[in-house]
This record gives sequence, structure tokens and C-alpha cells, in this order.
Amino acid sequence: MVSEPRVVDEYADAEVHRMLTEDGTICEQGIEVIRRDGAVLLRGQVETVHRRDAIGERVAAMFPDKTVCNDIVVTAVAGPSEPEVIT
Amino acid sequence: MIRVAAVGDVHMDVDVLGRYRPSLEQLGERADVLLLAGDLTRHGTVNEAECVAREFGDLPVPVVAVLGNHDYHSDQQREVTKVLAAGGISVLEGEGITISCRDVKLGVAGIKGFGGGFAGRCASMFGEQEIKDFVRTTEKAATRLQAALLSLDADVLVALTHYAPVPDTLLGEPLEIYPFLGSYLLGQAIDSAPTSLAVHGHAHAGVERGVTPGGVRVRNVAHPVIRQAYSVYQLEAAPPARTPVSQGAGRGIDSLSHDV
Ligand SMILES: [Fe+2]
Ligand SMILES: [Fe+2]
Repeated sequence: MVSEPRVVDEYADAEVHRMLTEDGTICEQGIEVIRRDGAVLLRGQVETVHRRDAIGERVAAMFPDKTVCNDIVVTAVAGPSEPEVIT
Repeated sequence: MIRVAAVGDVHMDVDVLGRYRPSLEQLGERADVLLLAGDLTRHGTVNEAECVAREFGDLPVPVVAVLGNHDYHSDQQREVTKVLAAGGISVLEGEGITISCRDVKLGVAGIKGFGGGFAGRCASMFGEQEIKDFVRTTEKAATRLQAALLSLDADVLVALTHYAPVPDTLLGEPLEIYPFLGSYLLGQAIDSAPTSLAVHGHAHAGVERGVTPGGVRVRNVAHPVIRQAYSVYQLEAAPPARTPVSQGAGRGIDSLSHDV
């Protein structure tokens, strides 16, 4: 029986989180990366579609064998709801 | 009555330019002041600061800001501050400012703050120099925040930080990172003055509402938390019926206050 090369998941998790923060083109600290058998799910909020797509591309390059499900959303910038009265 | 608009963590760069502007056009009808709770840029560069000044400058109400950790990333926080100031944004780092709106004088004391954690689970001034430096940084920030709050002669007092003063508004963040999200020392400083509201950002996955041990309302206005261009809080001029619970953070002081 031929053993598969050992993939240490926790190190990969650490690597992807540091990449998302330290890569100057990304710089996001609050993105959730959830790894499943055949997929990587991305969740969180960013300011623009461009930033969401850039994260998806970088993570896809790190996990070429997995499907990236990019559920990151762009935070809304609508006008405010009614003021909150603080008594 | 005074209406305080606030948002943090807008992480501006050229790609964000113009996004907030349509909602900001109505700011004058909805609020008397706008507070920016740090992480105004992505990497803390001068170019990004110019984007902030364009997006949040030239508004019908005074704009008061603190910087966040992202705004320090390129070691250009001084230049970033200058660019924002040139755009008409008052940047506070241990200072207080008063703003008169109709018959109410609003005082805002602001500082970025730092981490360290919360009561019972916090870092202490012990062990390696690096740990002591970390704790000392937060202690200094809390001391300066307290001094700025106490120096203000105002009808309504608001504390503005980037880091969180309480754990309440961190709910939803992983517990493991709480020490990097805020410090109880900031809460203690806020509680040592007759503060009406404490506004912070930084905790993107947290919740909006919390309260200090002394009863001061805390609002996390990180953009991903409030999910709108800004939130508005209406405050009454009468000081809260509350006794300051602590003078613990008060030590050497180097703050200043100024009027606009
Ligand atoms: Fe942020
Ligand atoms: Fe931050």
C-alpha cells in the first residue's frame, strides 16, 4: 500500500490566514476559510467586488485540487436606519 | 439632543472611492457630527489617506477620527494624519475636542487604543520585555484616554477608539483573538468619566451593542457590523445618572483639548 503524502491541515489553515492578512493585495483579517473534503468555503465581508474576487483567486491558487465556494459579500453602504435613541 | 453618526473600518483605497458618497450627501439632515472609528485605510499609505480625505472630507458636519491598526501598517501614521487633517478631518490620538451643536456642547475624546484582553483573561505586566511593552502600550493609551475625557468641558461626552473597551461587542469573534481586539483598560478609562457613549471599530465579526461595567453604552460601528454607510446615535444633553466606578487608569498625562 502506497501512503499518501501527509498534508497537515492546521499548517495550511495558518498559511492561508496569514496570506490573506499579509499579502499586500489582500490585507483582510476577517475572512473565514472553511475547508471541506473537496471544497474551500470563503465567508466574510469586504468593501468591493474586486476585493472579493481577488481573495477567491488567491485561495484557489493555494488549493488547486479543491473547488472554491466564494460566499464573501460586499458590505452595503445604504443610508442609515432610524437613529438609535440612547437614554 | 445631539445626533452622532459613526462608522469604522471603511478600509479605503481607490477601489472604494465614491461608495459612501451618496449616503453621505444626506448626512447634514441626519446628524450633527461624524465619527470615524479607525481602519480608515487598507495599508496606511498616503494615497489611501487621500482617498479617505476625498470620501469623508467636505461634509456639512464636523468629522472626527481616530486611526486603526491598518492605518499604522506602513509606518506612515503621521503622514496619514496630516493628509486627513488637510481634508478637514480632526484626528485624535489622546486628545479631546469639543463641538458646539445648537445649544449642546459635545466633547469627543479619542485614541486608537490597543489590545491586552479583558478582566480575568488579560495580559499582565510580567515576564519578557516584549510582553511588558505590549501591556505598557495599552496602559499608556488608557491613561491618555482618561485624561482626555476628564479634560473636556462638555454637556455630552463620547469616547472614540479603534480597539474595543468591552468584550460584549466582540460576540461572534473567536475567543482566541479577544486579547488582540481590545482591552478592559480602555473600558476602565471610559468609566472614570461621565461618558455617555463609547464608539469603537476593529471587531468586524462582532456585534453593535454592549455596555461597560460602569453602565456606559458601547457601540461597535465597524462597517461589516453595522452594514450601512454609518449609524446614528441620538444622545440627550443631561449627563447619565451614574457614578464613575474607577479612577484606576489615571497616571501621567499628556493630552490636550481644543475647540472647533
Ligand atoms: Fe478593520
Ligand atoms: Fe482594526
